[in-house]
Amino acid sequence: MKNSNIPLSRYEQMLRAEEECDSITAGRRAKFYSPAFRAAMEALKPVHKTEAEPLREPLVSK
Amino acid sequence: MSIWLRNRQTGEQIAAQLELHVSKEQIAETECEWTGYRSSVPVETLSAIPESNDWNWLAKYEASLQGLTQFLGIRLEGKLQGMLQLDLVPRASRTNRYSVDHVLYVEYLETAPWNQKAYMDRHARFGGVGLELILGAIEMSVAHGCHGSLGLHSLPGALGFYLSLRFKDYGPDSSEEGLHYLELSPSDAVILKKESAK
Repeated sequence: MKNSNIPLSRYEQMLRAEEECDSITAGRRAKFYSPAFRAAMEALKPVHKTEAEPLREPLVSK
Repeated sequence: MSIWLRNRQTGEQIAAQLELHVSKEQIAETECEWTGYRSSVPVETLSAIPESNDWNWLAKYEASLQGLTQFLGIRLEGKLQGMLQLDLVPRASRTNRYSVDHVLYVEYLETAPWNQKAYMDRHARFGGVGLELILGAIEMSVAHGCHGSLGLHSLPGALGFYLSLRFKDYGPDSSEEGLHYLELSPSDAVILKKESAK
C-alpha cells in the first residue's frame, strides 16, 4: 500500500502539475484562433440585451 | 538528444528523442496527425474546448521569420509528442529592468492532443513532454547567450504548470489579451535542470 504522506520529489511534482493542467500551452492566442473558435467563445458569454431602438419616421422623399 | 518521458498508464520511463530542428515537412505531417486526432474526439465529450484546439502549426511555421525562429519537438513511437516554437532573437528581461539581461521568448508550446487531459481525461499517454521541451529551450537559451533565461505568455490552463517549473509570474499583459507573462531566470533555470535530472 502506498504511503500518501511521502512528499513527492520536485520531478514528480512537475509531472503532476503537467498532468493536472487542461493543456500545456504557451503562446499569444490572438494570432491563430480561428474565427469559428472565437465565435464559439463569444456564444458562451452571457448575452446583454439592449432595448430596441425606437422606430424612426420613414423618410419620405417627394 | 535522448530524453525520458513517463508513460502515464504504467508509470514507466520511456526513452524519447528531443529534436532541436523540426523541419517544415515534419511540422506538416504532425499538423495532419494532431488535427485528425482532435477531429476524432467528439466536441460534446470535452469538458471544455482546449485552448489550442484551433492552432495550426504549419501556419505558425509559414508565418515565422526563417532563420530567426526554431521549432523543437519530442519524438516517440514515430510521432511528435509536443512542439515548441522559439524566437532566437533575445529580448530584454523583465526580471531586472535595470540590467541588460536577455531572454529567449517561447512563441508557442503545445503537447500532442493524446497527451492532454482535456482530450484524454485520465488516459493521457505521455507525461514530461512540456518539461522536456522547456529544458530544450533552456539549452538553446544558453547557446544564444541568454544563460538559460526564457520568457513566455501562458494560456490560462497552463499557468500552474509553468509556475511549478519556477517561472515567475509578471501578471496579465494587456498587449497580449491579458495573458500572463512569465519568465524563468538563469538561476532558476539551473535549479530546474538539476531537479529534472532523473
